[in-house]
Amino acid sequence: MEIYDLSSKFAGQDEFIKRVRLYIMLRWYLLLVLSVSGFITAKYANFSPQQIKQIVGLVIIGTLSNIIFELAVRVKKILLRFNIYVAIAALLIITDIAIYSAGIYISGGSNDRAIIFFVLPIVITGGLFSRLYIYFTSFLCVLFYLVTTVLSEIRDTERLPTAAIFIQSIFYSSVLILVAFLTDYLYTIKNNKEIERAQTELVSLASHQLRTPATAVKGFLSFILDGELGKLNVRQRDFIQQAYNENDIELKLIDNILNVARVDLNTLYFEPKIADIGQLVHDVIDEYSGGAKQMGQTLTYRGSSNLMAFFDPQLMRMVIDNLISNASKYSSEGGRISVSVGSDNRSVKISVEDNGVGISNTEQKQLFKRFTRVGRARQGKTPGSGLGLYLAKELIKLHNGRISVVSYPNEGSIFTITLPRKAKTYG
Amino acid sequence: MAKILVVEDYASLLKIYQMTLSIGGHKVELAQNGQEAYDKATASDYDLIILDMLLPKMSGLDFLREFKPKKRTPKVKVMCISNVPNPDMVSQALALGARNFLAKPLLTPKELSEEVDEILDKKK
Repeated sequence: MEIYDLSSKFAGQDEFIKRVRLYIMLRWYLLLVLSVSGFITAKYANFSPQQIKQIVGLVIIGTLSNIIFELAVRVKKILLRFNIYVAIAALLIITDIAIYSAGIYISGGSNDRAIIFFVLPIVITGGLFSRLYIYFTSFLCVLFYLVTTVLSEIRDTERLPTAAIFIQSIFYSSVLILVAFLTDYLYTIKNNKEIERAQTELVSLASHQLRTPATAVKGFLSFILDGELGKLNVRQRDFIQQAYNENDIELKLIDNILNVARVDLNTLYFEPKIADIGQLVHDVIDEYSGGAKQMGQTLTYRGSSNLMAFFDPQLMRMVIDNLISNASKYSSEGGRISVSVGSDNRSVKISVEDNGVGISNTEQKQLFKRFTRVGRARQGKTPGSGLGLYLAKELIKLHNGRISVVSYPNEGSIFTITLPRKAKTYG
Repeated sequence: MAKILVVEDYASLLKIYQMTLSIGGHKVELAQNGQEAYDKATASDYDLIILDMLLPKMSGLDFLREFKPKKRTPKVKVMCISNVPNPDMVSQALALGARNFLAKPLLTPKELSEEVDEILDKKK
């Protein structure tokens, strides 16, 4: 099972092979360092021929195991007939145990020191990172260590000076663990990123497919509402208008999903320019005033037009739209929403304030994350995707600005956007 | 009144464009893929071509590459429309001679006819 778990993290066999090859490459370097340091130590510590033979043995084991790995990877076609994951993982484990064990065997010395310097670091590091592979290897190493110690006690063979071989062992084992951890970690990150990217691409594709028919519906309904197909009675107009509004919500939702995918894939069409932010906010408020009135909410605007800032009008419109739509959704009938735009020399501030349900401190921390829905929204009482504020944050970040929230439950919320005024302050 | 070729593979949108432009008093012809658009555009003179970007047989960009709107006489204006207006595509289309690039979902019939009137009014 452990062996299977090691390989199941990798999406495909190729990924696994790549990881193994990297591992082998690093083992060659390690082996080189081990051999050189081993022979230098041997020379200056006046080792006996027997001790030098043992070091040579260790190097030969390492070299042979590396050659076996290389062959295993190269003949993967043959191995594919069996289970390549099991085969390679088993080879890795068996040969590593051989190397560790040889190290312990040669080092000899007292049981306590060998355990402290050689085996414990492996077990502890393995435990820290939950690497099943290292656990498994360490377990077998301890076992082997116990057996060999007992055997050497019986036979009382000649041993290397403990300190010399310990330094090498510690170096070798910790680097090996680090390498195993790092390669696993890097490949897992890379793999996760690839999966995430594939998912995002799928979302992006699906949204395009959804958007085209939804756009067509909007077109047809517009024709009817514009009276191109004849005059409508009040009831007909009311129903078609509702269908139009629902379609509008649908399109905005699709746009949100699509834009989140674009932000994540870095394919967003971002075209900032110097424009009047006051006018833009004013336009969005105009669009909402009818709806707010219907819900008995008051929507007020404070601020002058002719406030120039550096932004992408289409994206910024989406952000302001999201904030005002949220303020309205989370306020009750008779609620007050006030939007203000102000500025100083360097930046423009846009605030959207409501006296709605508010957001608790803990929920505020989650608010700008993807798919976050808090309080009433999470109970399904208010429609939404949980993407609006995430998108707002990402889009504002793109503009080199900031978005923040101050909110108290049952009192209301204030969302504030700060944007740089000039192009030159844009990162 | 202008003579307009609308190129769009999604039949419902094609119908909307056709209705909108006919109401605006224009003479409208239709094409559902890039190849058909190219055949029609080279066989007849249009004042404006409204071109979707993702098309079967020949993409919008390939159409622009083949058709070379800048080198045509009499002059023909090309307005590109796409659901996927990524920056690369937009800059390529404009470099290949498109006059304008619009994101499709923002286009209600009213907005479309305004855009068309504006582009037809422009000199050059």
